[in-house]
Amino acid sequence: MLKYFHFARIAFGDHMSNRLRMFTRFLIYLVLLWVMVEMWRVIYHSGHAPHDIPFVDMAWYMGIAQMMFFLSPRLFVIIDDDVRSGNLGYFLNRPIPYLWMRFTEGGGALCGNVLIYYSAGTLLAYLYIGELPSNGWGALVLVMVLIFVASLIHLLFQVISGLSALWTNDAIFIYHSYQKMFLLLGGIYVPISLYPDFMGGTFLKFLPFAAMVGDPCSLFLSGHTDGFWSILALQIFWLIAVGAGAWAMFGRALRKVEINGG
Amino acid sequence: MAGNLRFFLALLRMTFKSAAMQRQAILIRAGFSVITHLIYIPVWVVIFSIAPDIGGWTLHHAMVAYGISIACWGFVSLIAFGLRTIPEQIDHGELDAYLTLPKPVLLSAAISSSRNTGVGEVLFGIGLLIFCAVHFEVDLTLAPLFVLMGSIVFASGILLFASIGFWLKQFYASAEEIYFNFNLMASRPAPIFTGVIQVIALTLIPVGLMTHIPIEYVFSHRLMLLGYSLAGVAGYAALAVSLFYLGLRHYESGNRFGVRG
Repeated sequence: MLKYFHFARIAFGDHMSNRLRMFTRFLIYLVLLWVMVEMWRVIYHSGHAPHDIPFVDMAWYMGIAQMMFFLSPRLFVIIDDDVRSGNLGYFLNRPIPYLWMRFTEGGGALCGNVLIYYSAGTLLAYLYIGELPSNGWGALVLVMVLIFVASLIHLLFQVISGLSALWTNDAIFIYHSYQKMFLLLGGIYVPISLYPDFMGGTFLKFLPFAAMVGDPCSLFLSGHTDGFWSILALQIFWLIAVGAGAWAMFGRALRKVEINGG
Repeated sequence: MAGNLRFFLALLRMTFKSAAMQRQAILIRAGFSVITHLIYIPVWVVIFSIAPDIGGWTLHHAMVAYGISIACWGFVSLIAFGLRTIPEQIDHGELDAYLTLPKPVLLSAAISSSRNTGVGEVLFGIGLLIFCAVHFEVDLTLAPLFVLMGSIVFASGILLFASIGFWLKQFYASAEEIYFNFNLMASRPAPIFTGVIQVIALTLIPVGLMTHIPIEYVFSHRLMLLGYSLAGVAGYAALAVSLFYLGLRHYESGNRFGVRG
């Protein structure tokens, strides 16, 4: 396990050293936070607001939902590059599975982002929104814990998207498909509880997309934090399931690399 | 001027010829691209099922904005993908090769590469605009002009931010984030852009010129808006090109030792 720790540690240091990239990304997060909160502000002012959700809670929902996308590094780009350049072949000789090496590197960079977004990001979100969610700071902390686990699942999905380049020669369009599915089924722009009946909101809540954003952020809207443990259990289930899927895909990818020579 | 135009057309021909060599890959990627963007439509349907209008914007406005922004993304990816790689080309000293050519560096750098997923995005964007015209009875006679203007704004935006790479090293990843979100914001409802953000949306990141003002024209038919928009597009493009050549002068004055094999 120590070697994984060192890979994560080095990735953390590398990520933190690229201040320009981190600053640009953070600035974009703030703009998107602003855009989404303003969109809901206009909806609330026009009288179409959901009656049982105060604007402050909706604003926090949007702020943290957007944050989730920015916490994980763009791991699929690195894997896509490894596949296309043939570097993947060199990594296979190392005494560490490539899949988990890249995943732990992603985890290291994720920890770097967590430091910045959980401190400066939430502080600026608080200053912009003007008050804490109705559930208080305790709910905010619990949502942050869930969003961290969600980011690990997101990293695994990125690993799968990146490995798909072995079959498609380009991971970006697979990732974009996943991202759009995530936007639709994850409740990024609209809480899943507000989805029309024909979208099957009750069923959507159990899918990995909702488990990553919609379910955790719904703690802001429910008035209590009783659902924390059940959401965490669902996330752990999906973390294991998606991890197993990534591992199985990596096994198939290895056979393909051996046949094609990288 | 005529020589540059011939050069531009020759580069375009080469780009399309190269893309046509991979017909199957293009078809698969175009298909995926269309499906990907189709998935996004229900997101707007859900939002407008809760709020039938957002500050006066309805599902019609959102669909037209999405159609224009995706078509612009597709056109730029297909024709001038090289713009997106300029920060990388700067870091690797790849512009040196273009500096030795008698033709404009910008033209060579911009059309040096193409991304064939652009085919699907162009088809989807145009298809969505046609759907809006037929289904919502929106007058989109000037849609080709809007897509052209939007593509120029988007390409200029990419060039403007890519040119920062002349002064800041390893700007590629940051620039990519900016391009993606530039396009994303172009499909957001105009009424949510107020105050400082509205100023930014009309100047530094002019998504207003790309979608908001053309859409306002479609629904209000105020010719003045179109005039402002055209002037804004020309001004923004001139600013981006000027910044690129300013950066290029900085690049030319540098020394980079390397061996090309």
